[in-house]
Amino acid sequence: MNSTQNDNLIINNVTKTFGDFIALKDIGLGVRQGEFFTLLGPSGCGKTTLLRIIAGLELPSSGTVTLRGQDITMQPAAKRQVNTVFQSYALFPNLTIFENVAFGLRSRKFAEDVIRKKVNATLEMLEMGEMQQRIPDQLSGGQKQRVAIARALVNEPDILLLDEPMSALDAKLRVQVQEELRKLQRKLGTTFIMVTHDQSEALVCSDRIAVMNHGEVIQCGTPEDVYDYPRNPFVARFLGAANLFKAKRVNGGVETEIGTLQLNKQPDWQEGLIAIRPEWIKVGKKPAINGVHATVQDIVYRGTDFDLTVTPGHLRVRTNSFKNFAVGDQVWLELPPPELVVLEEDR
Amino acid sequence: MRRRITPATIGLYLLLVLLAVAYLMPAYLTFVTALKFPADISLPQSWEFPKDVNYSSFSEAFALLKGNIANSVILVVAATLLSTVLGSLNGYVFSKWKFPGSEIIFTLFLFGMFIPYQVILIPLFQTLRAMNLYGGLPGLILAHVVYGLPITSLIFRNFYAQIPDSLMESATLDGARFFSIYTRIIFPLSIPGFVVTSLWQFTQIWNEFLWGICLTRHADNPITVGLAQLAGGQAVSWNLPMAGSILAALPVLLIYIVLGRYFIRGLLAGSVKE
Amino acid sequence: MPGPVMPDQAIGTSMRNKDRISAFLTLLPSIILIGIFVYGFIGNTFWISLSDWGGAAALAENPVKSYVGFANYLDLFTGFLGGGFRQDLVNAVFYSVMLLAGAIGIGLILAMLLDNKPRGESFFRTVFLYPMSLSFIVTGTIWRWMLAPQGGVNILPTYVGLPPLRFPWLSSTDAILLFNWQNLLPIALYLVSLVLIIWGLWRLKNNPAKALVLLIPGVVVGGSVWLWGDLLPQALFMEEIHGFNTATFGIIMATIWQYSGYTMALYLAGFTGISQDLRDAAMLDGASTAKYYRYIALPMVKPITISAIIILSHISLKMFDLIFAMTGPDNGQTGHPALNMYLTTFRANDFARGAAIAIILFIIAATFIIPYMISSYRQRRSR
Repeated sequence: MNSTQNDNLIINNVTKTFGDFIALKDIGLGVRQGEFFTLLGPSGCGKTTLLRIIAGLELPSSGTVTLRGQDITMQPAAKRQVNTVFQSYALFPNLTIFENVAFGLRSRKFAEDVIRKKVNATLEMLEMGEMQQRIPDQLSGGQKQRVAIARALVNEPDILLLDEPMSALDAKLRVQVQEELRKLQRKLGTTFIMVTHDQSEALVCSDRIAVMNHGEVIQCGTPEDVYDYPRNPFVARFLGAANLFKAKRVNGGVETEIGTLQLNKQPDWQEGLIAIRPEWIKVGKKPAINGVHATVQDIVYRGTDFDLTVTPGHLRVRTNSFKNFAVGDQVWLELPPPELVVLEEDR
Repeated sequence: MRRRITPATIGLYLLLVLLAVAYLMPAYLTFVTALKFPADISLPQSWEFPKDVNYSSFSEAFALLKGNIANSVILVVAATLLSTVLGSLNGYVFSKWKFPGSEIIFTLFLFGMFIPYQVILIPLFQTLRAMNLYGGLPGLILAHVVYGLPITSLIFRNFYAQIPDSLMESATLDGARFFSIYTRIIFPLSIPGFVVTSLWQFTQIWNEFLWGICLTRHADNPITVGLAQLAGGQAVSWNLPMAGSILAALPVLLIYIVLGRYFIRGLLAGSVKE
Repeated sequence: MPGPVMPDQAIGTSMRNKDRISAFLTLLPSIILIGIFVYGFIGNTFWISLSDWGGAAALAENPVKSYVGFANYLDLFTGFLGGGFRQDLVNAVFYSVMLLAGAIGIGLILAMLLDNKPRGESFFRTVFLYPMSLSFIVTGTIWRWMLAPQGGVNILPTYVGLPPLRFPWLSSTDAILLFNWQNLLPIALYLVSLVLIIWGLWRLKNNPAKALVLLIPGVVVGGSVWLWGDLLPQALFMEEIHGFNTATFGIIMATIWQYSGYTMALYLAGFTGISQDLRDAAMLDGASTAKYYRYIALPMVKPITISAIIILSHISLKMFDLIFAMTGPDNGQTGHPALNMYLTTFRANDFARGAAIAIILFIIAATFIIPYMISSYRQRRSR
C-alpha cells in the first residue's frame, strides 16, 4: 500500500473530517503513470471524497497530495493537470456539444483555430464528431458520457478522474461501456482513476484496485489479488460470492465445521476466518487432501454455471453446467490449499 | 480545518455586511423615530438614538388606527378564507380533472393576475354601487376574492400536479367520486398548499391600497388607507407615522420571519413559471 | 367492432361522466366571476373610454354617456391638456427602465453573493427580503422620512466625515434627458436603430451572419432618420419639453429597496437548482466565478430573468400606492399614469378620460404579458 518512487500521484497521510465525521482516515496511496486505478467501496466509504481531494474540489484536513513530485495539496483545481468526469456528467445544458468540449480551452484562452482542431480531434476519437452542434438534452446517456469524457480529455490531463461513470447507464450498456473505457485508456496511456461501488466494473476495467471502507483503504492490488486473496472478510464479501468459515488453528492446518483443512500458510491467529471463492471448489471424486463429503441442498442455474449450495457448512460451489446434479445428490468436494485464504480481522 | 482564505472571501463578507446594513437602515430609522418624543425629532439628528424613550407613540398610533386595523382583520380573514378555498377547488379541477379547453381557461384565469387593476376599476366601482356594496367591507371582500382567484388557483394547480395520478385512479377504483376524492385524499394532502396560499393572500390583501381607497368609505378604510391618512397629515409629528408603519407592517413581517419558507414559496409561485 | 359491454364498465363510464360534470360545475362560478370581473370589465372600460362620460353629473344614477370615438385618446396624446399625462408616461418609462435595471442588477448580485453559501446565509437572505413583505404605503412613509432634505440619507455622509448631500429628493423640480415631444418619432427611430446596432455588435463575434441582419437595418434606420428626419410628421402641434424628473429618483430607490430582495429570491432559487457538479465542472475547466455566471448559470436561469422582467414591469406600470405615500397624489413631478387615472376618475369625475388612461396602461401591459402567457400555455401543452 505504500507508495514507491515510480508513482505518479502520491496520496500521503490524507485525513478529511467534516465536523465530527471522519470521512478519510490517514490514506496513503500511490498511483502509477498510465494505469487504470479504481477506488472501490460501498457508498459512504470516502471514495468520492478522496477523488474530490485529488481533483482539488475539496481540501484535505491534513496530509498531502503530490503529482510528479510536486505538492499540489493547496493548488486550485483548475491549475492541476487533472480532470474529472462527473457522475451526472455535468454537461452545460445551454451549450452545444462543441462548446461544452471547448469550454475549458476557451477559459484558458487558446486561439480559435487551436480550439477547433483539438475539439474536433477529441470528439472524433470518441466517435461523437457528428453530434457537435447538438445540445446535451438531445443525446442518449451513453453519448452524454462520451461528451463528458471528451470535455475532460480535451484539456490533455495527466490524470482523468471518473466518478461512478456508469451509474447513469442501463445494465446492458454498462458492460459495453466498461470495455470501451478500458480500450480508450490503453490507447491514450493516460492515468485513469475511477470511483465505483460496482465490483464487477472495477474488476473488468482496472489495473489496480483500492478497496475502501469507513474512510480507510483496506486492500490495494491487482484485480486478481484482491479477488482471489482478500485481506479480510469485508473485502472477501464485497468483491463477490465467498465462502467464509470460522476456523481454529491446529497442527498442520485449521479445524472448521466441515473438517480439518490444510493450508499453504499458517494463520497468525488462534481463531479466525478463512475464505474460498465458490469457483475454486472442485467437485468430483474423493480427493487426496481437503476433501469434504457433502449433500446438494439447492441448485441455481446461472447461464454458464450452476451454483450448488451444499451441506455441511452451507457452502456455495460454482461448477460447469454440463455436469448434472440433482438436489439430494452426494458429492465429494475438494478445497485446494492454495485457494484457501486466511483472513485478517475486519477493521 | 484548512480553508482557503482569500481576499475574495473577505471581500464577499465585507460586501454582504455593508449591504445588510444598507437594507436595515430604513428599519432602524423607523424604530428610533417612533421611539422619540415629538420635541426630540429633528432632521439633523434623525439617525441618533432617542435621549428619552417614548413608548406612547405606539399607543397613540394604535388609538388612531384601531378602526382601520379591525377593518383589515375582518377583510383579510374573510377574503383569504374564501379565495383560498375556491382556489383549492379550482386547482383540483385544473390539475386532476382536465377537460377539453381547461388549459385555455386556466391561461385566461392567469391573465387576470397580470392586468393593471386600473383597467377594471371603473366598472368595479359601478358594479359595487349597483349591487349596493360600494363603500363597505363586503364589496372590498368580493373584489379581493375575485381577483385573488388567478393566483390561488395557480398555486394549488401546481401543488396538486405533484400528487400522483395513480392515487386518484386507485381511489376511483375504490368507488370514490369527484367530491369524495377531494375531501378524502386531496384536501388532507393540501395543508402545505393552504399555508402557502393563505399566507400569500393574507400579505397581499393586508398590504393592498388602491381598492381600499377607491371602494370604501372612511369608516370602512383598511389599515393602508388609515396609515396613508395618518402620514399624509402635515400637522402630525413623525413619531406617529413611524409607529403606525410599524403597526401596519407587524403582522406580515411576523409571518415573514416566522414562516419565511412558505412565504418564499408563495413568492416563487406568484412568479408563474410552472 | 364494438365488443360486448360489461355492465361494470358501463356504470364506470357514466360515473366518470357525472364526475366530469361535477368538476365543470365546481369551476363554473369562478369562470363566470373571472369572465365578468376581468374580461367583461376590460370591455366595459374600453367602451367608457370611447364615451364622454364625465363632468358634474357623472355620479348620477344613470349618467348620460355618448359615443365620441377615440377623442379621449387623441386628446391625451396630442391635446393641449394632455401634457401632464404625457409627462406621466415619460416618468413611467424611465421608472420602469430604472427599476428593471436596478432591481434585477442588485437582486442578481445579492443572489450571486448568497449562492456561495456564506456563513449566515439565511440571516442575510432574511434581511434582503424583508422589505418585500411590507406594504407600499409603509415603504413610502418610511422613505419619505429617509429622503427628507436636511436629514435621513442626505446627512449620512457626515458620519464618515464628508459634507452632507444637498439633493432635495422628492421636491426636486429638475429634469434631465430633456426632449421635445414633437420629435417623438425620430427619437423612437433613433432608439430602435441604437438597439439594433448594439445587439448586432454583440452578436458579431459568435454569429456574424445574424449580426449583419441586425446591423444593416440599424444603420439604415439611423442614417435615414438623420438625413430625412425633418420629413417625419411632428407628434404635437406645439413644442413641449419632457424629460426624466429627478424627483422620481427617490421613488425608484425605494422600489428597488423593496423589490431587489424579490429578484434575489427568484435567482437564488434558480441558482440552487443548478447541480454542484456543473459548478465544479466549470471550475475545473478554469472558469472564474464571473465566467461561470456569465456563460453557464445566467443562461440557465433565463426563464427566471423573463419572469422577473414581467413581474417588475407589471409593478412599475400599476405603481400607485408608493407614489401616493411618498409625494402625495398631487405632485406633478412624480406623476404616473396609474395615479393620473385615479385623480382623473375619482377626483375630477372624468370617467371617460380615466378609462382611456387605464386602457393605455392595459395595452402596454398586454404587449408583453400576452406573448408570455401564450408561451407558457404552449409549454404546458407540450408537456
